[in-house]
Amino acid sequence: MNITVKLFGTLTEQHSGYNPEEGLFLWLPDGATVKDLLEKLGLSESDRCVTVVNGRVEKRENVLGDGAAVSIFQLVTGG
Amino acid sequence: MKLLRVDMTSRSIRSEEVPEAYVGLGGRGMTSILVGSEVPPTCDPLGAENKLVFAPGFLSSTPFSNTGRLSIGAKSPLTGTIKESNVGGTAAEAIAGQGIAAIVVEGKPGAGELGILHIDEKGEARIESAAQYRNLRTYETAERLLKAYGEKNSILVIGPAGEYMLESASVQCTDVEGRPSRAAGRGGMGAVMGAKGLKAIVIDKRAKSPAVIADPEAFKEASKQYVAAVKSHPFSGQALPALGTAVLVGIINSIGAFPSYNATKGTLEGWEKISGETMAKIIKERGGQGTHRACSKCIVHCSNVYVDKKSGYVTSGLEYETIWAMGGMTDIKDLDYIARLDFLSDDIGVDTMNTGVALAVAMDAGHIPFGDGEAAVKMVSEIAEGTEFGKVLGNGPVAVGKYLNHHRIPVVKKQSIAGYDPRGMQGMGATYATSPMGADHTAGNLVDAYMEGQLDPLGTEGHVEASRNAQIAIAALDSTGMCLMAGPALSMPEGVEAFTKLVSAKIGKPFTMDDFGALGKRVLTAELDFNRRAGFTQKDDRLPDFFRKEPLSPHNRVFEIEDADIDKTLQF
Repeated sequence: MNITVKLFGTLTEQHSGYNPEEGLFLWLPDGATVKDLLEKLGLSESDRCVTVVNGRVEKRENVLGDGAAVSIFQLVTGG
Repeated sequence: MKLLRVDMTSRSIRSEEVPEAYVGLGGRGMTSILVGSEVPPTCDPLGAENKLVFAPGFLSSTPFSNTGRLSIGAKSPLTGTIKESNVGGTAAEAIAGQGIAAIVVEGKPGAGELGILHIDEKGEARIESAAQYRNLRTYETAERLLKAYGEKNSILVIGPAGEYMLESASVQCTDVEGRPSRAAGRGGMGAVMGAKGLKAIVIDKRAKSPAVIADPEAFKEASKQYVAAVKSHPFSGQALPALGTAVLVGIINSIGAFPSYNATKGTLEGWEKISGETMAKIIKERGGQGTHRACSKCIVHCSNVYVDKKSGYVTSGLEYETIWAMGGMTDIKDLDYIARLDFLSDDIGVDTMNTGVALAVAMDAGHIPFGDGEAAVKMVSEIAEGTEFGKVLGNGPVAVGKYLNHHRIPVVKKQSIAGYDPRGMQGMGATYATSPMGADHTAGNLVDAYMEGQLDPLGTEGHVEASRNAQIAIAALDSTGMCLMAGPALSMPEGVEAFTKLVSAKIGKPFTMDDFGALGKRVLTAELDFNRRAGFTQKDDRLPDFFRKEPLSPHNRVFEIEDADIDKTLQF
């Protein structure tokens, strides 16, 4: 399945050449989870990323849908 | 440690040993327990019976990093409740360095008297005339005071809004470069300072009263461990230094909880224009400082210096809540205008949040169009000019709503909500409704629980308990002098271990997180007791009706936690 990914915070710096206007276009096998996506991007559990799809925070084990627009943030604790 | 009692009626100063009832207290613990003990709860907040207390945290006198927070407390003229407003900058370390646990400003001078409290290098304190600084804004006042008294001073200062005793008036504190850019914004503490006839407090930073630490070696070791935990957390170690709290703009919009257009939508169309990422890019391109140390002893460096196209200083510490209030609520999607509004607010001495929301109410009422940055700048400038509308605006969203006869006023106990809509983050509604301070996000922010999937932001289960636990923890944290931005380490086992060891080494007896919780409960109990005696009941612990009636896009939810459950929030 195809998904689009937007990165935020300092995650953008970890992907050289990342264009914030366009984001990333990725292919993942059907049934891929949030965890699979994060691993493909080199982000481990200790990076404590927050993944949002359609306005909802998705858990690591949640399965992604084809055409999903995914936003990945760093963990925040309030400002 | 001593208490410095400053009587503005007789213009006399008395230094005394910390009374038994206040020994070991600091920060919010000191301000709230002292105000609770000494201030008649039904008094006029701007009268002689109110007391304005400045207290560094109980760790602020130590070398431990990120303990440069100062608590300023009194009965609030905005909310009518007890109030603690918390500020960074340099004053907490300077006051603690003087061996002072709290400065207590009492009484009320004759009409028109305006003074400066000066505490010199030897700890001698005196009240001097501030006649030459009357009606000056905070940046000019601080600059002139630093010239007159020397650069090795920290300054707490009010602007015209404080002198006019407006309900959104802040107390500004100088940062490490001497700019009064840090604000104790909430609850009108600047108005209380104005009512006391006190324009500024000037504290010599060179006095170094040694901190009392029972086991200095263990303290040092635990301090290092805590620093490592702060640095390893993705928020305090990476996101905050790079983007500051503005990093929140993206994620809160993305989950539809960013109160926009006076809290009528949960996502601001085009929020990317005012995001932390965009701000960092602009600052970098223009040669400002994307990472900036503003506060004593800070290792996080969440501040920034925002500059104009010619690299000239505009403001410092452009933060999430200001960007939200001045940009999201108003639809002013232009960081240059938001930065100007931030500077104007600091310079005039008003809370950016209460003022931004007051502007949004005026826009929602049709007084000026949403998105009109120029009109917003003119309106905020009117606060300093003392015009009729300027005074209304400086008294906050409720005053503006009454003046323009508008119903949608997002406040609790007259204090504006923050940049987390209770319809998109239900538990924040419990915090806003029940905090003894009026609507206050820092009193019990649940954003991390939503981000980590521990709570569903649109559900209601577990939110009340989470708010209770957060409010207890924050009441304790605010008593230490530690910055919230160093707080994420307390979500890590190694951070908790280091912190409990550190406090134990300071006080010379075992300290656990249960003791930390007991401290938080003691502080909250004092605050709730004050509010009860001031006449507040559970009926005051309610969000405005529109949060239950007007669904918020994109999730189209209303606030759903029942009143009976809200009333359980602070039952412990």
